[in-house]
Amino acid sequence: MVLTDLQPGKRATITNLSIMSELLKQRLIDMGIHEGEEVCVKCTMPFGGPVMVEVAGQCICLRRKEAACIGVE
Amino acid sequence: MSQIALFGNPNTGKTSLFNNLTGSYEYVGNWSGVTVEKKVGILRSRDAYVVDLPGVYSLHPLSRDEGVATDFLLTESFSTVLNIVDASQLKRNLHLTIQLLEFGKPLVMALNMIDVAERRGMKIDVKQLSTKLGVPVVPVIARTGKGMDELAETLRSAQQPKPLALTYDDVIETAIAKISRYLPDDIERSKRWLALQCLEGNERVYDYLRTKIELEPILAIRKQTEESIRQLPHGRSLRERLHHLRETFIEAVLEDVVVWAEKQPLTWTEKIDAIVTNKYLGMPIFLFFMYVMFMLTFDWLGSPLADLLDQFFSGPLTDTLSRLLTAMGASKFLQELVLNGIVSGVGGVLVFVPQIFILFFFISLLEDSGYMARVAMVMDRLMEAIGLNGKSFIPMIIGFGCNVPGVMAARTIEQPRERLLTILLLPLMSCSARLPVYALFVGAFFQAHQAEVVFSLYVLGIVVALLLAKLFSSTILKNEHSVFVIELPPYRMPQALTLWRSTWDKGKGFVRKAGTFIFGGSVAIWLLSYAGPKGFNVSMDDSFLAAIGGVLAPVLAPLGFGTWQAGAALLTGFLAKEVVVSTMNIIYHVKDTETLQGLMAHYFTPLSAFSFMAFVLLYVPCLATVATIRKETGSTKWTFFAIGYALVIAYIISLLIYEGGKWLGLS
Amino acid sequence: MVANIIIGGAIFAYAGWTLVRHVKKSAKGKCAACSTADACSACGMEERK
Ligand SMILES: Nc1nc2c(ncn2[C@@H]2O[C@H](COP(=O)(O)OP(=O)(O)OP(=O)(O)O)[C@@H](O)[C@H]2O)c(=O)[nH]1
Ligand SMILES: [Mg+2]
Repeated sequence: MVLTDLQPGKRATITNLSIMSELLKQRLIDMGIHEGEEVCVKCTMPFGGPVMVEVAGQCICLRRKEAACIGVE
Repeated sequence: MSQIALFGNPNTGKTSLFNNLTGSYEYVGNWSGVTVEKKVGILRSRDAYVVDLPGVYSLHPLSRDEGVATDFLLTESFSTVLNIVDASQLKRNLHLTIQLLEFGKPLVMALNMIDVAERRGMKIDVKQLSTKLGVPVVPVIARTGKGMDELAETLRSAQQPKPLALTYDDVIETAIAKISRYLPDDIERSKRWLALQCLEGNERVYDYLRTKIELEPILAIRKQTEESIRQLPHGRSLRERLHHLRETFIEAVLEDVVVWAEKQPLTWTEKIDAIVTNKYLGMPIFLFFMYVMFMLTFDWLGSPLADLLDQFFSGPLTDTLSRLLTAMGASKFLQELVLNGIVSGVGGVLVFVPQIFILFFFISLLEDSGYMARVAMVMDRLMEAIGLNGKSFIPMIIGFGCNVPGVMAARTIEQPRERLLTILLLPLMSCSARLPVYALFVGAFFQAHQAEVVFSLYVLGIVVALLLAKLFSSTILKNEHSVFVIELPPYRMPQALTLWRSTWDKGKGFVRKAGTFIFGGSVAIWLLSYAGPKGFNVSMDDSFLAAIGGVLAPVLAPLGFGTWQAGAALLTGFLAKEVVVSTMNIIYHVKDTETLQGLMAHYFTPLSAFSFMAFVLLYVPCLATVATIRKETGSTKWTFFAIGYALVIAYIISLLIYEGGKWLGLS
Repeated sequence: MVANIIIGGAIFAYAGWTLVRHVKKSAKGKCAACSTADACSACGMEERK
């Protein structure tokens, strides 16, 4: 399952980050989105806009395309 | 004097702390990436310098502002690191602390936002944290100034810390040892730190080392280590492995340092978020906010106040001055200089101070509440479609106050192309200096719809910027891949005092400017209008100013304002856009805005007035903005491009407005 | 008459000085021209250092 499949409000644990862009991956890791961390999808913007997730009490916004590369369970 | 450097994650309150420690007032806002430059201040006790730096997540920079912090570590000498840590985000913040400890300078940790942490139900054992990390830890609340004295005291006695008790795994430790051995002995920074940063792939550190040694062997070691790490069962990259090992260490440190009480949900941030970042309401709410801002600025509050000021300038002030001058036996020349030059020119701009302050108040509100990052999120989909990202919208909003800090704020955009594009388009954001021009014209020609007309100009600026972004990003500035991640800070109730300070600090510049170079400009313009090829005190139409402005008039004629007056005003506007208003006031020889507005009806129609306002909005950025663009892009070519395209687009748009309007029968 | 010359001279001198300073400052990208001068990262470095 990937992050975008997660229902808003439900929690899950990140299993892998298969993001292509090194820059972005580094950024996400720095912000606390890394393997083993719990995430929760807060909301999604319309027309394929970004998603807002919460990790360790911090809200982070990323694009849906990239959220789809984050595996969770 | 010794130097204390402030390091910490973005938006953890570094600048708030800096302000408290030094008694200065630097720019504070509730989003990541407020500070983009190094700032120096002096400690209240006057015995050390304090340096505020942009926030970083790690010492390996990904954007230009983060590079400033790493460069500081590499190139400058300082005595103590003051590491600001957001107590409510302890785990994440400590990654940076570890890297700073590896750097090996004396370090003091300021545990900030303990109020927030407590509200979240976190109890932090400060003593134990301090013992485990081997550094002094001082709990503070930078917002209120709590704990500052203790912090200052601790800073004074900061000592070299014990080496950090973090050992990475065998592969990495071997690589560190190898690189350290290779590094020259006379290098000033900690070898272990340099080695670790090399393993991270820190480009800035590479650049630093390149000036001293051949880099190839180090890169080879890194490559080899990377391969061995990949072969481990979990198959992570070297960087992820480093992060993972640090994470494990941090978890061990925090194990009995942080005690969670009953977790309270962050109720009101979540409630507000449910509304303002709502799927469908997000964008309309932002537009509504802007609309209220303009109604307040122009209709409900700003204009009446401006009228009062205007009456004061044209009435009591002018009378008193004129009586004073007569009493002193001042010559006619001097009287005209003061009354027609200075009072008209400076007063004409000062009248709009209330409007400027209201605008700044709203911008400060936006900055301090936490809404800024949400706007970026709401806008991202649209921005993505035109080849930018949501983050570009933040510099643009700052640009509404003044384009110069807007251009600077673009530093936080990671992708170089997106950053350049944002900088180039920034001058299209209608800054506060253009506001007096609009206020003058809407007062004269659009009495009943002031706010709507000005609102339409702001929107025009944004729309043109978005269209051009699409054009540029699909032609000259093609993007490989766009990047967008942004942290959404919790909402914070803006404090009345902060809000006032930040409004005042921005607005004060405007008032000061009126007293300095708008004064100077007014005198110069008046002189040019008083003197002509045939001598002094000529009729205005024979003056030097008319001659200069006249050159432009024929070019401007198709836009509906082909008078020498408009030409002269636009020319002076390059210095700073408010001067357009001063020039108009002086040229039309009136002492109060009301008469001026009446008189302007002879030279402008509502249609040509709108065309003129659009032209002022879009044509060349002011001198300071041009210089900042030059500095930030580091390219003369792009600077000229920014000026050039703006002129062309201003001409085209004004032409469309005027000719289109005539065609529709509006004139 | 003397007062005339003094006041006039003072005004022109001040005006000239502010203009020169403004152009010099803004050409450096420091914003004497900028309304947010104090609140902005680009300015005010010189004075404070
Ligand atoms: N509740 C609370 N808020 C704080 C505290 N310290 C700072 N803030 C708020 O946190 C926000 C960020 O403060 P800044 O000082 O701009 O943070 P910064 O670390 O300089 O941010 P960057 O320059 O973007 O890296 C502001 O809205 C402050 O009012 C604190 O101790 N408690
Ligand atoms: Mg800051």
